[in-house]
Amino acid sequence: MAAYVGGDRSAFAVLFERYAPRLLRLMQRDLGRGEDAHDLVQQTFLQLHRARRDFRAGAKLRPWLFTIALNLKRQHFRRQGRRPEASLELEGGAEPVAPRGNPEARVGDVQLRAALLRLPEPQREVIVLHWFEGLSFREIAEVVGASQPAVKVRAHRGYNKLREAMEGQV
Amino acid sequence: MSDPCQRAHAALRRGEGLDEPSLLQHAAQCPACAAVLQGGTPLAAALDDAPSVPSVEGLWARVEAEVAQERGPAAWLRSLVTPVRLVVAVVVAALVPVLVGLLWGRVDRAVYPAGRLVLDLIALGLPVALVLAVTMHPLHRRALPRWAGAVAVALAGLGALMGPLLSPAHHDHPASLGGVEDELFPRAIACLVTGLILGLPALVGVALVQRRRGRFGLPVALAVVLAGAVGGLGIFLHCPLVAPAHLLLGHAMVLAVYLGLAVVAVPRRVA
Repeated sequence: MAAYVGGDRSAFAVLFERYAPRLLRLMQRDLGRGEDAHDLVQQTFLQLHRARRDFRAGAKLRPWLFTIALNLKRQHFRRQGRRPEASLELEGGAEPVAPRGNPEARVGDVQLRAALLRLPEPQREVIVLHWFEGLSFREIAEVVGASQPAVKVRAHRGYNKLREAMEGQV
Repeated sequence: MSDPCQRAHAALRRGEGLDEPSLLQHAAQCPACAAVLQGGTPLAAALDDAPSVPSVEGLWARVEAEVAQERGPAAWLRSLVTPVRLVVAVVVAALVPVLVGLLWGRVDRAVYPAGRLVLDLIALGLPVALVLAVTMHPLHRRALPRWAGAVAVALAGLGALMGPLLSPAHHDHPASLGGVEDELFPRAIACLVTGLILGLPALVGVALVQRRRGRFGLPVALAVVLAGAVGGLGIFLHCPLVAPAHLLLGHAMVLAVYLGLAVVAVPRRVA
């Protein structure tokens, strides 16, 4: 990012290559595989470009980029007047994501995805960033604008609810 | 993979326990990992059944094309660092009220009660500051609560209505006594038009330094509300009339008209 801010245009392509797939996965988790997810990733990189001079040398890009992405996703849902849960209905050209593994795991996957979508947004957001995107609690705290202990509490509660949901299916 | 959470997750995904002392110690301190550990392999396995990394083929060309369009003075203004953009926005929003106050100020200043003047300025000026703060909040920082914008707009509405709802500030200046009966509509329309014009520079200036997406959207709607608040403040600093009916039709309507435009600017889902 420092190279890009410094004027190296090719560095932007490197950033895209590194982060676009993960951002797209983040968007598709709530939006399905329709055009909206692609549009939001595109907007994330446009906003990254516009805000490039705000980036401080030495800061971590990942939480910065994820903050932009999540804010755009929130704005999208506000504009649509709905919560991410609605995207469980695979609409607008979205394709179902084929679960991997054996049939038991498939049942677990469906159960878990339903449980994940039932979580309150703050807990869900933390779990997605922590488990699926591999962000550290420090980075997540930066992204969601909360303290590290608060983020850990959200994660703990969320994982416990998921565990209870998984135990409920057995 | 140095993050202990990720190392713990990797072990759980492989169906292994957290045998390594450092991971066990980490799980004892990390409530999130402890909860996953308690859930055992089924939870870890189900969590692991996440969608794989998708292909971004074709997306780069779209991003590249959009970034290539970011040229010219408007793009340069948007790309300024946030503190500079904020200063520009504050200067633009304050310019009209300050100039009106200094060069075209109300003629009844000497007799306007000081306490009431302070109250009026706070009621009309505070929403300007709040709407500006919400409007200019950058996207790379955690989003403000959804109610922040609504509170700022509601305060702007209350500020605009305060003047008409309170009793007239004074009756001590001949220039303040008009604007009623036959004069009501002509004077009110003159103030309304003037207020709308006074709000325009703030709208244009703030819209130029915003990093909004698309031509319309919530940031643009807030900039429109800001214009209404600035226009209302500007006309208050100029017009000496104190009749509540005039303040309602001539002054408060400035914000109402801009609010109407803001409603149009708020994005809706395209069917």
